[in-house]
Amino acid sequence: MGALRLVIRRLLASMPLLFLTSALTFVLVSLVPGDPARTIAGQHSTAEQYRLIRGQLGLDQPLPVQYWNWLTQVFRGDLGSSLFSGEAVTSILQNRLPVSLSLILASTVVSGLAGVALGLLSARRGGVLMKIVDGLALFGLAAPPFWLALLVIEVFAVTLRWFPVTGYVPLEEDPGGWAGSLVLPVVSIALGAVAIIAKQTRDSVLDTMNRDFIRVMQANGFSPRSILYRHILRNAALPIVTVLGVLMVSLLGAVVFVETVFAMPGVASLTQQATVQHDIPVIQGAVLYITVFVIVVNLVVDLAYVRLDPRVRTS
Amino acid sequence: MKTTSRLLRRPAAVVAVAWLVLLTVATACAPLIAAHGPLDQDLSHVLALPSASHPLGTDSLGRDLLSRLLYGGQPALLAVAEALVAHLVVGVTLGLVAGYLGGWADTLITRVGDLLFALPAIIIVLVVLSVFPGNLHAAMITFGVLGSPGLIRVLRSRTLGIRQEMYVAAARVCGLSDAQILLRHVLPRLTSTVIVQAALFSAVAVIIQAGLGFLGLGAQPPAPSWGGLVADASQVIDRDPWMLVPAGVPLVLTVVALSMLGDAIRDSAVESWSVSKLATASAPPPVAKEHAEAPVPGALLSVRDLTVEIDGVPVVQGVSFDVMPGETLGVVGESGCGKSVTALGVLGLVPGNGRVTGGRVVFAGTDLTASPTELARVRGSGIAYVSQDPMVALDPTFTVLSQLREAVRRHSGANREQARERVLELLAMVGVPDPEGVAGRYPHQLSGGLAQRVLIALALAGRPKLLIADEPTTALDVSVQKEILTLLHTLQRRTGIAVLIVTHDWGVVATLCHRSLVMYAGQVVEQADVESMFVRPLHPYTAGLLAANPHRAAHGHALTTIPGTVPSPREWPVGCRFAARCPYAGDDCRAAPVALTGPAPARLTRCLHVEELVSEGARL
Amino acid sequence: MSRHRAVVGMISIALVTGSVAACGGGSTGGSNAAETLTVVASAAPATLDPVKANVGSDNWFVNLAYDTLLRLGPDGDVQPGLAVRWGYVGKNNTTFELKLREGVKFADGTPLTAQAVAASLDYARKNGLNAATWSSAIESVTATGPLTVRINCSTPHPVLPLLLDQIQLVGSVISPKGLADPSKMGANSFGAGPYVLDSAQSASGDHYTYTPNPNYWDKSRIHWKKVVIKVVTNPSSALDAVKTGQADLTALVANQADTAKSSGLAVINAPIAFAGVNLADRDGTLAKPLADVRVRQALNYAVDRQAITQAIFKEYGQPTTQLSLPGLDGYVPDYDNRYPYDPAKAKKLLAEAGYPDGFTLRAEVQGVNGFDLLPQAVFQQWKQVGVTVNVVTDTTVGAFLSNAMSKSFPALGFAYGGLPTYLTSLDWMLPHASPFNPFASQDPKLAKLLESAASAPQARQPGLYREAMRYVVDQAWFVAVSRQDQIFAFDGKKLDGVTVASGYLPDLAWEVKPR
Repeated sequence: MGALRLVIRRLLASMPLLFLTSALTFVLVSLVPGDPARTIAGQHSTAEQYRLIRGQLGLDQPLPVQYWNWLTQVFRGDLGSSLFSGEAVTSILQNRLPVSLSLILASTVVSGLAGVALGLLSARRGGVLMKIVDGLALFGLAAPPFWLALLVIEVFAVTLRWFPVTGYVPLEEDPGGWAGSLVLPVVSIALGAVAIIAKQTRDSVLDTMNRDFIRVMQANGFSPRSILYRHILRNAALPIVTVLGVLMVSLLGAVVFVETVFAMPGVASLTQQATVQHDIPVIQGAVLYITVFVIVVNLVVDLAYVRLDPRVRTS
Repeated sequence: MKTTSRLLRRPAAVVAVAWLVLLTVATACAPLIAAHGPLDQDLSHVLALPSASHPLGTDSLGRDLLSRLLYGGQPALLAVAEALVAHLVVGVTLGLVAGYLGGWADTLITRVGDLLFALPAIIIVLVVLSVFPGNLHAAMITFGVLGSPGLIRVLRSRTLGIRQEMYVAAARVCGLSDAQILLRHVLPRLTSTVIVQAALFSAVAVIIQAGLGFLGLGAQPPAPSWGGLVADASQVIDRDPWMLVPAGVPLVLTVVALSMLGDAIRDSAVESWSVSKLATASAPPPVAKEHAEAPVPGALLSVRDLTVEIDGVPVVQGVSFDVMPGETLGVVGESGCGKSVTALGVLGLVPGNGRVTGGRVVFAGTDLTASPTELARVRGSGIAYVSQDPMVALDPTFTVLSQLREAVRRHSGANREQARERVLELLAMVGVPDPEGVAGRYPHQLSGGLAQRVLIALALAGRPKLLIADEPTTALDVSVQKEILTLLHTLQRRTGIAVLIVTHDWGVVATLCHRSLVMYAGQVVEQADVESMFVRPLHPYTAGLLAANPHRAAHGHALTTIPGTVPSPREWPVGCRFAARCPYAGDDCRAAPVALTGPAPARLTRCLHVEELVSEGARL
Repeated sequence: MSRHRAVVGMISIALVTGSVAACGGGSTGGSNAAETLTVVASAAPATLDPVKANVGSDNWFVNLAYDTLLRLGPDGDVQPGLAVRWGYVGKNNTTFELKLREGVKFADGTPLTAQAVAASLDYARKNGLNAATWSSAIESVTATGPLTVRINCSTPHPVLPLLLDQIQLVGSVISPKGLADPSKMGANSFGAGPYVLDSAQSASGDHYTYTPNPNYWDKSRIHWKKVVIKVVTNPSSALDAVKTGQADLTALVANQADTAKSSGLAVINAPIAFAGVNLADRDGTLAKPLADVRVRQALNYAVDRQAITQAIFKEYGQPTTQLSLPGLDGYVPDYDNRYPYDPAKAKKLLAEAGYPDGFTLRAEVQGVNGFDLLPQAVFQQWKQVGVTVNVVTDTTVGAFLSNAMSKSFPALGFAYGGLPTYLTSLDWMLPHASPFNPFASQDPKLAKLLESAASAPQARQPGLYREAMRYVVDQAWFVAVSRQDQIFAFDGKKLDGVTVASGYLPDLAWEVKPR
């Protein structure tokens, strides 16, 4: 119903975020000691060549003008090119986007499914399972993803040889290989997330179980299966979806490490490499892509709200 | 501090604190503990396993891992502290300001907070590091600030709550400045929340600082750092997998300790808010043994000796009563007397951790306590239930139609279309003006009265013989209350359904009920037909309730109240439970449990001083 | 500033030892593994522009797509490449002529002419990585006939044939289409090599896919339907990839060799480079003590080369004090132990120089591939004689080189590949500012020795270069510590033709083939 309007409203509301991050990055990056024009011109260039390149890059303009120019360039789909490889930033990012998206989406799906299943189970069974979920949550949250990744590589890739040690296989090249190449990275990323979702699920299921309408349904003979899967889960879903959305964004942090450890060509590890190399156009482009990703995730969460909660939909 | 001692009673908290203290001390005293300097190399023992001289083994240059771990803890703890300070300064200040000042400050802070919240912190930290290469201080402070929106949110809502409270308002009147109020009155109450958040944030900060070290963005080698240790371990993992252990395990333990500590502080703070609930249980008082009579022949529902326990504490004890077909029985009493629990106990649905631990519930000749399957079958189709607050009694995520249809189909096996017809019929039956329109609505789109009608329709979907209504009108406006009572009355006349109604309102009893049952502190204290009870109550509690009834005050008497409150289940005395509030109570009442007796035909009371009461009642 | 341009070559031959790795066939699940060679490098190429690429670490990326004018064989002999005949014209090693192979086309179809080759060499001498050093002597390059190219030098250049081989990269011939817009070369190939870069199947910084060049002049050299170079920075992961069959070939760090052998892989090795600490500030601009030769010698005596070499390289390294390898023209056999470990002597020398309590020094090292380990070990030993070092570790080669050039560090960790001394001298011993001589230190006596060696006839050169080497080691311009091997592990059942030799890398373009 109001979904389209909501999408538009949310997109408009997210413009400040896009603006904020890009401007912030722009200002920060302009503080970077050194001058891209020097880098491009090279050490043997003459002062004249250097001035020319500076002019071409618009670096002789005031900062707000530079930002405006960058923005208009962005709207034309041009993010500049890497100071190092000379490749267009858009094409670098396009190449790497599927990797990070695969990792994040797979991790989200895994932590969503496994987390909800575990959470439901521990809410219903309680006792030992609840303790296991708690323990797993604690370990999953505490084990740094880069350390965990090394551990699973040692066990499952090197010793047992179940999965590849490194690398990413594009989905369109070999779906089986793609899935195989994602298993260990996703485990490293998602262990903590599974735990968070399981805990959240358990809490909101237990919370929902104690709500009046569930008692009314039980008292009036609704089937226990329908009460659990139709009514409790649906009502418990809202906070779970919220957490899942926040998680998807925060998973980016783990993805940075895991892409590095598994040598996967993703956007997150690209950002890290570009940081080390001070490849400014790439950093700006990556931050822009990531911000758009964040906005899309928030939008999806909002749409999920609309789908799940009629109060949002009809008010 | 109370919280501290409570905290120290939790083994998890003690272990966590012990680890953190040990770590901090060991790190600070690294030169005293470590036998080697963090850079001292033993080139003839590279990548060595643990030994007496190197308790955790050595790295690629034969440097002592224990020493590197301890010395590496110094920058790690410093970095975490920096992030934490930034986090707290920004989070606490803005959270307090937003919650306390409200208005545009709140709007601004909340919006900016939302924006920050949406940013992927690690990416921004990377950008900062590209601007200030190798500057871990800048990175961690940035991380602290980026992490603050969560804290702002929590503190803002807590402050908002506290601000509403009286004494802050009073303090305000006394001429304290806003800053003074915040510092003296608001902040102290937020302490435990802040500590919890700080512990959890520190856990994340530990991981982040190690992560930056792992990526080579933190402390510069050869200076030791925790993340650097993991990076070193990763370089030699094929030759010396052992190194993963000293590199990672202390890190994991530290994060675990911080999260456990956070959880423990939160739990013990919660504990202090609800001390009474968790106070140690005293032995349950003995129950007056009563002869459980056989079910009255022809009764629709016979409850005998029903006992319900919650968390091992009896809250309803030895309750017996019958409901005849088509009859309306009122269960009366103050809140906390076990009325609702009794009603739900009949259905085997005690809230929380409660369960029926004794007695029998016989419905239409079947013992429901003996057979869970029978109980399940009877719910909805034999006995239906309407709860107190109609606004929360329906699933907010489904339409009226969908919920009612589910109930109808569950009990009749009708197909979708038939079920829909029946739903509209039911809605019409409960007096919903526009059944089609209402069916399509969601619960939040209904008024209270309408929602209660829908709820009654839901209860009627399985054509039950008995309707249990738990204070069905309490949550409604007075005018709507009347309508609902009328509806129940009409329905009963028309369908001959029996009703068990829980209420504290004599008006409801007078309007609807044939008989009524008065409960006090988990027991039945009086039972009689409505007429007789109103005219001549046989228990001081009933008399007191009737005297406090506004409907009666209309007769020209001053409205009296019963002094004192209902004792909680853990405080039940051995003798008469009402003795403490009773003008007639004597030592005999307190000596032993009082039994339910029948001083007159069809009347039951649990009082040793009925005679006195009757004579005094005659005076009234 | 210019970071990648400053990347001066031979550092990276050493990089190879820790970095170039290979992985094969894994990405397609091994379905046509015999037809795909997948190689892994431990560092992404700084650029794919062949003359700006890092010599040593980037060679595979370049060699696959760019044929060079001459080729170096494993025995150190120079063989024909795109040129079939070559030689100096006249005396003094200043004029050099090449006769090109007939009928060769670039991958883009353009015919390979003398004009094109001259333009390419001209581009390299002006813009290449080593424009300021190795090719600084070249004054002009001209096409003297349809297939004849002449190189004219202002000063004698005795090793032009080596400069033009596939190791030194300067002779990588770029098509006119590439030269028209050099910025495109960063992401595309414009060569006449056996393969072309397939950018659609590549992700810069991660993996690079090469497919056969349909216009290649010698189809028999093309052994693979596809060659993939995958970047894996962690040496453990690189070896794991080969062990698990995800890859065929990887470079190892020294203490990985046993693990590799025990898991059934073939392991080969040969000396490649030497490593140590460069005492760059010999004039004492930043660190006054370094101006005194006794201090520099003291720092040499303070190092236990045997212990460090054993700990880091095991049997794949030998202690040394010089900048050359056995078999190269400047190698002085008795100068592998010019400064025996003697802390007492070191202290005495420091005291004599007026620093009895030592001093403090800033140093820069690169943290790539564990290259920082050796300098760290050295600094810790210096500490025993009172010299404290504050270390800055760079995480990329580019950052290291650019910091080195900034002249803010008096001491620099180094790893440098073995080269003909003429080339080494350009980087280290002559007053050209390079990352190995950022302060452009000069010594008239040394310059004179080198000048006469460069213009001398072939036969007399080794003797003269040995003299120069002795002199510079005596002056203690640096603390060389170890000579190290490059070590490769590969699947011996799958690959044939994997060869290493001193100053020679496994030749993916021509020699590595399926068994």
